[in-house]
Amino acid sequence: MKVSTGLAIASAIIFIVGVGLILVPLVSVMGISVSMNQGTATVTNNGPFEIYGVSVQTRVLSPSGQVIAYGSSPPVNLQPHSTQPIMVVITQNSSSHVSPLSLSYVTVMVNVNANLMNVLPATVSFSRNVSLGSAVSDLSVSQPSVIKSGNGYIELQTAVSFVYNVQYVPLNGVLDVTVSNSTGTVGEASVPVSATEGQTVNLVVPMNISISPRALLTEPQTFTVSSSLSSEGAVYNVGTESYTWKPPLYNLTAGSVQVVPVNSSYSSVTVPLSFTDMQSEGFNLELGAYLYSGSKQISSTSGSFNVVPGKNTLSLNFLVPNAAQASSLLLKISAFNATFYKEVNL
Amino acid sequence: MKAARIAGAVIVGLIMVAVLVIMPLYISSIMQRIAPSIPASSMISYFFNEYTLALGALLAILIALGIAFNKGIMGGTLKVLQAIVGMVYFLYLLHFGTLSVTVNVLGMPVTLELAVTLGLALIELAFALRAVEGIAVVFRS
Repeated sequence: MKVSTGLAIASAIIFIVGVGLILVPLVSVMGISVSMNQGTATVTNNGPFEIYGVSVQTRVLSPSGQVIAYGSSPPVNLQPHSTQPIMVVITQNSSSHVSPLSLSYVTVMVNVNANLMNVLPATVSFSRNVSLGSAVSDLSVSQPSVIKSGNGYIELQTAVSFVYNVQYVPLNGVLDVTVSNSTGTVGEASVPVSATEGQTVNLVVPMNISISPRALLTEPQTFTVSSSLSSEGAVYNVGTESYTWKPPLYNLTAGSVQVVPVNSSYSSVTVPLSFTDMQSEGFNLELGAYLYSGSKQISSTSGSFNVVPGKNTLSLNFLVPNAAQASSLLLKISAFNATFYKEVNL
Repeated sequence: MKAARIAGAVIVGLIMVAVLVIMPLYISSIMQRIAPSIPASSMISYFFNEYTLALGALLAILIALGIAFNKGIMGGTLKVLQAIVGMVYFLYLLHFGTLSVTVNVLGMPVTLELAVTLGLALIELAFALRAVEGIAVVFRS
């Protein structure tokens, strides 16, 4: 046989095998259909042959083309005319510095690799853009409440909850909460946040408030609580809520003084006090009371009281010389680890 | 004898034209069945671009001429030309081994991609052997 004839036969055989290696995968892959919903790919083999080693690789790309998350599934065999859900575990690309808060959409690329008759590799790929919509929803910010205070500061806490919606890309960032009133910012705090898609995030945010304990514990305030999420330099405004701060010692007033003679030298003086605890929980109140006649202190007393939410009344009893006329009352109020003074005219 | 060879060349040429037209159509229809949301017109225009049409027609002509003139320097040269045109034709037809069609489906770009690199490599090898065969024929003449 001539060399040229041998080459002709060899090239014809190789050509036919090559065409077969294109047409057979094409015909077999024709039976594969894939749908992808978040982390689960549903692969259907409508063809007549078993397909071996079906594995799904997923990459999530930012609009700029950076891989921000990826995942893959272990290979499975697909019987003819069968459907199988394949779980793809998608993890964040740690080397990517794309903030999920700055994304309006991501491109999801899905590669389905398979082996046909165990020797012919075939790959079906598809990609689609997924609009991300709002990064968070169902926001709720609770009324700020007192947790503790010291002289010169008060620590409030507010509970922030929201649902994180960004598909495929977990959130690792910081929640910043700012409290302001008509004069400006009076408190701010930051807490770390981690969330995955669909997760309801509940955070308790403690923050120092730069309003004197006396004002904060006795006077209503109008607070604006603003929350924002930040991640990788991107900031997402979660929302702003306005609240009327409800003080725990609101409208502290003294009632009518009752004087009852005890003997020829002293009388018993009873001063009723009333106030409203507008918070939802009670607290312990330490009171020191100093009774004055003009500028002279004529008696004193002290006591500890369990305050309950709502209207509270209590009585202060003094033993006063008969000659003295009580004109004013100085109260030393200790609550929430803060102490301040309040003068009440009688 | 010469008339019979020329008639055979014409018949083979027509068959080759049919094959080279049917093949892209067939691949288009398969791809379309894999992704029914992709319009058939997009598939056909993907495989029937100006390169594949021109190269396919040229390849059919060269194969027909190769049958008409299968000996001597002319025959060898025609085999080498067939090989070169065939290699380029299949490279363009199969888009260098990665069939990729992107269309808009409900406002979203959907890409269907199929790797056929192994088969393409073998076809290229077959045409390379065809070229070697042509060179051997030219040198022997």
